[in-house]
Amino acid sequence: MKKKSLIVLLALTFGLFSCDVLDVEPEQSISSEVVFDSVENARGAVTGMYQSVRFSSGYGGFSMMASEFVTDNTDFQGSFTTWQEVAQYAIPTNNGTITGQWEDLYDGINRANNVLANVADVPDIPQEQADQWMGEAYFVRAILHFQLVRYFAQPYGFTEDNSHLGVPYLTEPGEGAGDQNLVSRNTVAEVYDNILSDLQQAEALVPESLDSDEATRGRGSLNAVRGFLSKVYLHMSDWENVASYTNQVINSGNYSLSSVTGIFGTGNSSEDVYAVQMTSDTNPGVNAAMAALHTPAPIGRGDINPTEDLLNAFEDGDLRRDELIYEDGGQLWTAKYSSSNNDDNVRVIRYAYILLSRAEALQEIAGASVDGEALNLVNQIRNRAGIADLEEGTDFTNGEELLEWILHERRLEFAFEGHRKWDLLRRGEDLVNLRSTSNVPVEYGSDNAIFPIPQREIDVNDNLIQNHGY
Amino acid sequence: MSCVLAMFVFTGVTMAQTGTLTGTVTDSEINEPLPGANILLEEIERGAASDLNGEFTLDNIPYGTYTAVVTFIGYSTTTIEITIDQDVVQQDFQIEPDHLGLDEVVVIGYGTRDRRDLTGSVARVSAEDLASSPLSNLESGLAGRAAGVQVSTASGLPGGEVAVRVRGAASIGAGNQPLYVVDGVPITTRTTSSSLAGNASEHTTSALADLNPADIESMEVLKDAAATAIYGSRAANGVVLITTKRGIAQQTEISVNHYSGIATETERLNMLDGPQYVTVTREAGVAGSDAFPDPNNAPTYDWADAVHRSGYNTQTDISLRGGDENTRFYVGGTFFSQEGYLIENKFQRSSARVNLDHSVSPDFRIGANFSVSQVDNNRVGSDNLVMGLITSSALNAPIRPIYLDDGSFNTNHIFTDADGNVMPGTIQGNIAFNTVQEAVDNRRELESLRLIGGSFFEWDIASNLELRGSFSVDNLAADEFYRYLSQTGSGAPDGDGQRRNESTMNWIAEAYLTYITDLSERQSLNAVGGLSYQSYRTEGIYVSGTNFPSDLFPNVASAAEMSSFTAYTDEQWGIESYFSRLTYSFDDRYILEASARVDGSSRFGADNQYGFFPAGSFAWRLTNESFMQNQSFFDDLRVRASYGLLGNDNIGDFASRGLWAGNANYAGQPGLQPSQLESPELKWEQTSQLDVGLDLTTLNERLAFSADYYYKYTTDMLLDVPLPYTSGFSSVQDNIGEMKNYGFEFTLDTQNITGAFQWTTNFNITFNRNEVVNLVGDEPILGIQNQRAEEGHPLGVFYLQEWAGVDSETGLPQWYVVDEETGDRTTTNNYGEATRQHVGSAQPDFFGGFTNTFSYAGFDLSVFFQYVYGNKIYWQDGTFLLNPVTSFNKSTDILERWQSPGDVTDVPRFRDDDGNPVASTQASTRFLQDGSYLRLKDVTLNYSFPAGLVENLGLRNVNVYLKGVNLLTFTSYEGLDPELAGHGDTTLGQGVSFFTPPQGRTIMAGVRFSL
Repeated sequence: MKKKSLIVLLALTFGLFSCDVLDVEPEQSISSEVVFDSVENARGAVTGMYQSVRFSSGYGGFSMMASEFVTDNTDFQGSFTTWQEVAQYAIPTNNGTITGQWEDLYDGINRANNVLANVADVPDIPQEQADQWMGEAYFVRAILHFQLVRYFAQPYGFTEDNSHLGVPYLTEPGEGAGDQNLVSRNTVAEVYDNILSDLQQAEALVPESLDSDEATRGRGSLNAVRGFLSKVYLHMSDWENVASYTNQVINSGNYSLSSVTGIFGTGNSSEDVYAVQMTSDTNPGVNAAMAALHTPAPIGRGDINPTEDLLNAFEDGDLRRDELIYEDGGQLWTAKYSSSNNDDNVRVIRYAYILLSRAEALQEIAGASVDGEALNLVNQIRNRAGIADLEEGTDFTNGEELLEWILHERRLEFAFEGHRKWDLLRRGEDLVNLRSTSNVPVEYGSDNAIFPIPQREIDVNDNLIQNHGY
Repeated sequence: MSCVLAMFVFTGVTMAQTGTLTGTVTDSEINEPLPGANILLEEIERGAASDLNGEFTLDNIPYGTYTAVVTFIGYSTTTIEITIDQDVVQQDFQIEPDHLGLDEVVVIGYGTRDRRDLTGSVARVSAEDLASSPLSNLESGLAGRAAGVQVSTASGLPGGEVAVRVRGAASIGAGNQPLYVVDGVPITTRTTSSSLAGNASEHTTSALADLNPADIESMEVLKDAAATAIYGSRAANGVVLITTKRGIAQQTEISVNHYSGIATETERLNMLDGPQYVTVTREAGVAGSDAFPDPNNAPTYDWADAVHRSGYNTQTDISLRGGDENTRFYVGGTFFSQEGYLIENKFQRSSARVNLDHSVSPDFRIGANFSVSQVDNNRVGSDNLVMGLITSSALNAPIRPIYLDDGSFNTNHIFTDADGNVMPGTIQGNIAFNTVQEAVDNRRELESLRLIGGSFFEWDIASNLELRGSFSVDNLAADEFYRYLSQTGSGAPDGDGQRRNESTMNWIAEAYLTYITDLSERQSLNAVGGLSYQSYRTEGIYVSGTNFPSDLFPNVASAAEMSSFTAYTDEQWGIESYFSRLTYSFDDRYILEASARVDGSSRFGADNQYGFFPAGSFAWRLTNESFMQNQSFFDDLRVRASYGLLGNDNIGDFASRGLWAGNANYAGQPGLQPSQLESPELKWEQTSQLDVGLDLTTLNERLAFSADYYYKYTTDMLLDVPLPYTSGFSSVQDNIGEMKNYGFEFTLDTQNITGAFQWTTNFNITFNRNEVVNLVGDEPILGIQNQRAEEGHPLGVFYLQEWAGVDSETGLPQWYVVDEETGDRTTTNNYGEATRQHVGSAQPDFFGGFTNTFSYAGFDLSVFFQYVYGNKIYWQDGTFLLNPVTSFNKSTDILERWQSPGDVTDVPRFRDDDGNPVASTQASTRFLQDGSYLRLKDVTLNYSFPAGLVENLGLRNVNVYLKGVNLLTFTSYEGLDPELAGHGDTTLGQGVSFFTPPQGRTIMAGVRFSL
């Protein structure tokens, strides 16, 4: 009987081991199936979208600088050849930086699409929470596509009906290999329609309450959404809508102009409508952060300098020149980004942007006649910079001249902040990169005014059409 | 119920009349009694072992007729029929020595076979071949001894990784290491050292170094599909079965073996001395060389001598082996200590093993295997690391003193002139650290504690049906400890410490049935079927810190700053398997075998979770055919063929899963991001293998010859397929690559002289050809030092500019430019214009080994050579040693530099006519060398004391021996040692040397006796 019991014992032991050894779950990562199984993980997925926004390719570094150092505002003098190629408007289709920019932006769009596809079905998620996160995902998806369409396509208005090639507008999560990946480029009209539609969805979903919290100025709050709507309409020269959305942001009462120097640095200011949040641990790093490129050694790399042309554009006594531009080692530098930890927040939309956009829109609508509110708005900005009001009759005589002043103020106010190239292109103007070595003029609509679609992407997707001239 | 019945049946038998069988076992050639031979009566499974006089006794045998089988290692198995019909039956046995191992029993997956009955291809290396070799790694004992098995040891440092390739490399990304199975347990083979400790470029250590060669009975390498398919999804790279010694029924034999010896390096670099160094650096215009002491009285400090030494190697093992019919045991303990020939380098292994077998009743047996080993490896900076001892000692300026006048280490970058005056100067980069001090002051310790144990039962459900079940664990704990003191370069300014603890828990539960029956007089059937569950998990903790209060504090706990701390899970997988094998034998002429395994693995995608791996094979013994009866030329002639499908499951634990990583933080909040796409169809890499073989013996079994042709075709190799970035991902893994290996293996064993003086020869040679057939697009996959996987070329082909020597008129370096269209070859002095070409790989044309053994009057002399031919080694050392414009020391070869027009040399001038440095050490075939070698790997002279003398001492046997390892090497390789795999087991890193420590040359003496 001894033997019998032994065998029974052994058989039992084996019975236990026939449990499922194949049921092994990863511990360093989590399975995609479980990400949206809990509110907690879904929150992580939502936060993860914003990482893409803060990437150098998103709104955190290169993408902000590359719309300045190809203009009359700044000059790139660094050693990165891929950046030099951008600065010189001579970009090979295998340029690694723009390939990475394309990759990162679509990576972020995929993150947003994952949230959009799944967050409503998260078990036990409160409806308000789901709405907010959906809204934020629409916001992120819209602004990342916006960055893509601006860099990789000719501007809105380049063709009358905007039927020229934009970028693929992706609304589904990536699923792996398959023909669904062989996407085509949407027209610019379609891309802008989609961006507006996404932002409007976000506007409807994001709760007002998100704005009351200082810590959420780096997220798709209601005013951030409205601010972006005004920005997109500005690119479309849809002045009525610009006026309307800027008005809503202003009327929220959440923002006010800060001092010239109080705007910048770490943390948020009263002016931040949408600012990409940087910390010393999470930022684009020593090779791509704003401070790293704009600050001389030993703090930064010292790669980007303001041009003399910009310096000379300021009036005497302008605090934006006196306080925010300095000389070191025989070169000019901006003081807008200066943290040795690279944790300066990146202001994508600040209150001054809303004010000047509104001023521009109102004055456009007013045409030849002078719009009083527009004048008041631009004077608010001038006063804050320590310079005198514009006076009708002395400084300008009609609406068109006031508009010129508004646009001039935009250049001075937002230098180094990633707007210059777009402000020129949306108004059909030519670009000139005032380099310290040789100027590179690029006419509006030139092939090299926009980036090539990365060659690697053309190679793996036959449906993608390369930009003309590349 | 049936088990209970069987017991009753058995108890009924013991009542019959009984008798005793007795006799003597002797050697048929020299007529000497043989102690320790086994006599087994098959029908009742009772046996006995012969004593010191060769005598044996088996009593209480029921009257009847039995098949008596006499087995003894090194002798042919003898079988006769015996009838017990009286009280005492006397039967003597004269058994024949089996010099060629024709009758050996080989271990196969889930069973054993007589070699003559194999349908597959199995190479066996027995305990005798490995006995008393100073092996830190068991698997390096396979080198040159098994056809089809190429073994490249990472370096001469003990405990390192060994690249074993069975019939070529069959994968690019999933590894090429065979499956190692110890007593039925597929063991953990991961590297015990870690790149976590910031030492990624050092040679990695192997978990196989934990195994004790003294415990090993045999190693079988399963090569073809017939032999390996029963291991299914892990069999594509071959299987190495390691069998440990078990107890035998005999009076307890206590064996003691001890050896001691001295290890030195096989090779040392020839470097410039002080005066030569100053001359060369000045001529090359090295910055700061003007300040060097005058060449005529420049001192020479021998850095190489300071890091080399004679290392003491010793091993003592004691084992007890014995038992009776019911309980048998093997108990062994071994202490192995190997001092490297580099200072401070020491590898120690202490291990113990208990293997137990017990018969609970005649039809029920249980057993246990248990081994524990501890390895302490004091490591030193090694190859692939500029700070390494050999590297740094070679490259340091010979005019730099090692010690200051007060005897302390010279840590500053200073030279002294012949009068001892301190001179200013600069030292290049990483070798600025005093390498001798680094070795002496700093600690780099790797300890591992390994426990492999398990228990099993065997139950004869019926007379021809056995059930075996087992449960085993392999638990490996590694503890890596680094402490760099503040006064050393690596530890400055305040000390640096690191510690990593990692443990791997690997368990396996198996059960299988074996059914053996004679279907008729001429037909027999052997069937095996079973199931297996295995689970594996590795986890660890790593901490590092800097800024220690003083050097007296060894632990990271005392560091003021924690620089890193993490806890992690590394490997996790489970595998569920069902296997079966059916062997049908007809008339001892035809053997048909089919085997298959179904493996379900947690690694495979949901849509392909189970893989099926079948094989079929066939053997035909022609000499048993009637038409061969009238010939006497062949003693035995067999042909074999097999074909089957095998897998490689080493595709990563979660490659098929959709994954999100937790590192997408924003604004101080933790965030998630999708990191990997789901690919539910992802599966194993698959290799089909065809094998056709021939085995023959002739000349009265004095010559045995085997030949095999094989063709392995690997499909479904796991590769990254690029995706449009618009999908949110850059790539997805897919099973799409293809590669093939084919080749011939030959072994020839001859008994050249028999009688009192004996001479036997064992020879093997393997020719393998490898080609990468299909990759994603035509894109090559890049490896280390310009080697790559490229379609239409062997794996790891070097793609390099071709060196065209030195222009004897101008003294400038030249490379070839090959016209793409015409193929015309011209030379250029401009490296940038040179054409990259496919210039060979680290895979040899052929390799193998041969052993000659001579025996006379108790003396045995065994002489073992191993050889490799036609492989390439990228001698990266040369790019430093022959570069004139650095302050590194250089090889004496650089003295051959071109100096005036007409000089014919391979070393260009240092500076051109304009005084600009001439660059010639860019990657090119100048540094790609023929890695062929023939090495006298092992010479052993053994003397066995005569039996009579030994018996008077009360002993069973006494042997003394002298052994030399790596005594001679014939090669044209210019580097240190062509026997290397500098990057360990790295698939696209074979055949690359960077000051790789050469193998040691060991000379030792030992004594072995048993009582």
